Amino acid sequence: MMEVDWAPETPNIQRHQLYQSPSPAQSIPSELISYILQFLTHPHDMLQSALTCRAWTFNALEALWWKPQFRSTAHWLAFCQILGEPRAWSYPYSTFVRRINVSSLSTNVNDHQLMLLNQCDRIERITLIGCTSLTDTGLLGLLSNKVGHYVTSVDLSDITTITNATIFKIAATCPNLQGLNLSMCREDQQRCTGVTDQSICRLAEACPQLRRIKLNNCDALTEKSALALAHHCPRLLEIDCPVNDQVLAEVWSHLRELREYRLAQHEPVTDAAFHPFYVSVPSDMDDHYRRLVAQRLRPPLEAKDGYFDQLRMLDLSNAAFISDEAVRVIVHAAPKIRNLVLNKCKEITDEGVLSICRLGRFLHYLHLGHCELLTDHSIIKLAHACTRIRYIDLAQCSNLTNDAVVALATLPRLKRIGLVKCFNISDTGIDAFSQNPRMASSLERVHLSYCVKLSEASIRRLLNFCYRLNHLSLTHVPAFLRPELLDFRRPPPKTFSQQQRNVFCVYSGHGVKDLRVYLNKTSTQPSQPPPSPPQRRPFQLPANVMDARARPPALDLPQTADGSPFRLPFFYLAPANPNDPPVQLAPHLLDRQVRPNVTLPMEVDPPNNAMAQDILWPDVFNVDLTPLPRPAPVDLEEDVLDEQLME
Amino acid sequence: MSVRLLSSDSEDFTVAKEVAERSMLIKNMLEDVGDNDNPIPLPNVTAKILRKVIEWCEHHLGDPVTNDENERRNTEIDEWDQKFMEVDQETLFDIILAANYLDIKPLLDVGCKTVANMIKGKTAEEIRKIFNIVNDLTPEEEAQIRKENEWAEDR
Repeated sequence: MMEVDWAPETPNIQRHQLYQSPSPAQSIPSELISYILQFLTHPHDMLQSALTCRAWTFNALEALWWKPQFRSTAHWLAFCQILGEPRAWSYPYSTFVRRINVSSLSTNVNDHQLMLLNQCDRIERITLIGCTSLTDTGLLGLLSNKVGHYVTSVDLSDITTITNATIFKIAATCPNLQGLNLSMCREDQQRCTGVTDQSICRLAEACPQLRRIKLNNCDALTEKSALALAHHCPRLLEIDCPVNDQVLAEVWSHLRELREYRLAQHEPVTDAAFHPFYVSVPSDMDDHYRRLVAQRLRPPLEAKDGYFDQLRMLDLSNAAFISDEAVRVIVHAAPKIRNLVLNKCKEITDEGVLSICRLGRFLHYLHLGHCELLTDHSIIKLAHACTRIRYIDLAQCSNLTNDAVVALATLPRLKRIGLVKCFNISDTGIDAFSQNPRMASSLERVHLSYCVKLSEASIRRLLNFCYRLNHLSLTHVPAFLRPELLDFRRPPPKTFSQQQRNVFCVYSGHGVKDLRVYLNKTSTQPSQPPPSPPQRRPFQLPANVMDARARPPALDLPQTADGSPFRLPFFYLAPANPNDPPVQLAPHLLDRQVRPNVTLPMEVDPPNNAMAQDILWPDVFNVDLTPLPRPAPVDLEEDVLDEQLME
Repeated sequence: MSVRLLSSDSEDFTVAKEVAERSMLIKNMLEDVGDNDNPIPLPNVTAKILRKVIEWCEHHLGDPVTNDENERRNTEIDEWDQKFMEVDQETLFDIILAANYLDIKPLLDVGCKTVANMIKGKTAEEIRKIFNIVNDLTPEEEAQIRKENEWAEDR
C-alpha cells in the first residue's frame, strides 16, 4: 500500500519574504480568492489562475483538484500517473480531492487506477456510473486505506459485477453515507446477483444517515432488505426494495420523511399495506370490513391527516388490489403528492379519482392507465380541481367520452396527455384542445393511438394550433392508415411484426412538422391560416389587482417637486384576497427611474417567463404563469444527479 | 425606520432599516443593540465604497433569496449589476472586501463573479496583465505545477 508521507500542510515551495503587491487581486485574503475561484468551472481557467502568482496557486489547485474533470482517457491516465508519485508532489493534492466522477470514461477505468485514489482521504462523493470494467477488487482497494469517513454518496449504477464484498466494505468504512445507487438498468449487462439481503442489512445497521438508496434490478434482494432499511435508517427519502403488505406497512410506520415511493413491478400489495395511514385500525379490519366502509355501511376510518406531507411521488403501478379506500386514506395522509401513478390499479373507480381531487394544485402528474372503471364524471371533477396537472395518462379508460376530454382541455399547463384506446373520443374532443389558447403554447405530446373515430380534419387543426407539439401517436387510427403519410412517421421498432408495422403511426420531432405541412397542402377544406406567430392570450391580472403594465401605468406615483425622476424602492400589488400579503414586484424588472405617465418597461408574455414568475406570486392569485424550461446549466448534469442522489 | 451608518472616514449615512439589513453584520448588530439612534461604526468601509454598497442594497431590496447552490453559482450577472460593477479594479476589490465584511452574500457573489468572468478563457500571463499581478513564482515552480496538472490542460 502506498504511504503518503509529505509532511507540510502548506505548499513546500519556500515563501518569499512578504511582498507588498500593488495589485488588490494579489493582496486580498485567501478565502476571497477561493470564493472567486468557485465561480470558475473550466479546469483550464483554474490551472491558469494557479500559474499567475503564489497567492493564487494553492487555492486554485485546491479548486482544480476538488472535483477533477477529465475530458478524455488520456487526461485520466495522466492524472493517475501523478497520483502514483505522491512523493514528488509540490502540493498536497490528495487532500484536495472531494468528488470523483469518472462515469464519462465508462469502461476505460480499471481497478488498478481506482485504487490509486485511496490516498484521497477527504473524498465525499464517488460516482462510477457504468464503469463496468470495475470489480470488487477496485472498490475494496479504494476503500482500503483512509477513504470512507467523509464519503456521503456512492454511485455504482450498472456495475453488475459488484457483490456483497463491496457493500460490506462500504458498511465498514463509510459511516456517514447518505446515498447509495445500485440500480442496474442496462440491458446489455448480465444480471446483478451478487448483492444480497445479508450485505444490505449490514449496510442499514452501519449507515443510519442513509437518505437515498436505489437497488432496482438487484435480483437477489427480498423484502428483508426493505425491513432492515426501514428499521435502521429513519431519514430515508426513497427506498425501492421488494416488499409485501407487512413490510410496506413497516416502511410507512418508520419512514415518515419518505419523499418518493415506487412499488416494484407486480408485488402483491393490497390496502393492508396502508394501515399506517389510519389513526387507528380496528382489530377486525379485513377485506370484508373495508368493503363495508367502501359501501358506506361503516363510517370511514380516520386518516392521519397530513402525516406524510413530505411524500411527493407515489407509484403503485400494477397494484391490482388497491381499492378506492386506499386512495382515500393516502390522499388524506399525504396531501402534497405531486406525481401519482396508479397505472393498472384496476379496482380504482370514480370514487378514487374524486379522492384524488383533494390533492388540488399539488398534483402535477397523474397516471390512471388501464383504470377501466373510470367515467367522465370523475375526470371532469378532476380537471376542475387539479388545475396544475401537466401530465395525465388515461390509456384504455375506455368509458371516457368527449366530455372528459373537453374538461381536460381546460388544464392550463397540460404538456402531455395519453388517451390511447379511449375508443369513444372523436373530433369534438380533439377540437377542444384547439379552442383553448393556453393549449397552444403548452401541449407537447399527445397519444391518440386506437382512437379510431378521429378524422384528419381535427388532427390538422390540432397540429396547426399547438405549435409546440413534438409527439403525436395515431397508431391504428384508420384515417391515418394511408401510404402517403408513411413518410412522416417514425420507423416502426424492429421487433414489430408486419401486421404491427402496417398500423404503426407515431410522429415525432420533424415528422410532426412535416405531417402538418402535408395535411395543410392536401386539405380540401378551406384551410385556416396557421396562427403564426401563435396567438397567446394576453396576460390578465385579476380584476381587483393593479396592472403595473398598463400604459400609461395606472400607478399613483407621488410627484417630486422639481419633476425629477421618482425613485421607487419597490412596487406592491394589492393581493386578490385582502388577507393575503401584498405582492411585491421584483425591483430589478422595473426601471426605477419611473416618471408618471411613462410606460413601465415590463414585459410578461414573451420569452422570459421567468420574469413573470418574479412579478407575480402565482400562489396568491392562482394566476397561471407556466414557466419556460430553464436553460440547462452547463457542465452540471453530474452535479444535478449528485444533488438528486443526496437530496 | 431608518438606521445611521458611520464610514471609516466618518461620513454619516442614513438609510432605511430594511436596506441596511441586507448586511447580515448590521442586521445582527441591530438585533443586539435594539432601537438606538447612535450611528453604527463601520471601520472597514470608506464612504466611497459604502455609498456604492448602499446603492446596490437599495436596488436589490426584495430580491428573492435563493438557497440553491447551483442556482446561486450559475445565475448570470444581470444587466444592472454589470453596469454597477463597471468600476476601476481597486473599487471592485474594495466592494468585494466590503461585501465580505458586511456579510452581504449576494453582493459578494456579484463581485466575485465579475472577477471570475475576467479570468475565464485567459492564459496566466493575460490574467496577470489584467489584474496587474506580479509573478512571484520561479520558472522551476511554474514548470512543476504545469507538469503535475497537465491532465487539466486543453489538448
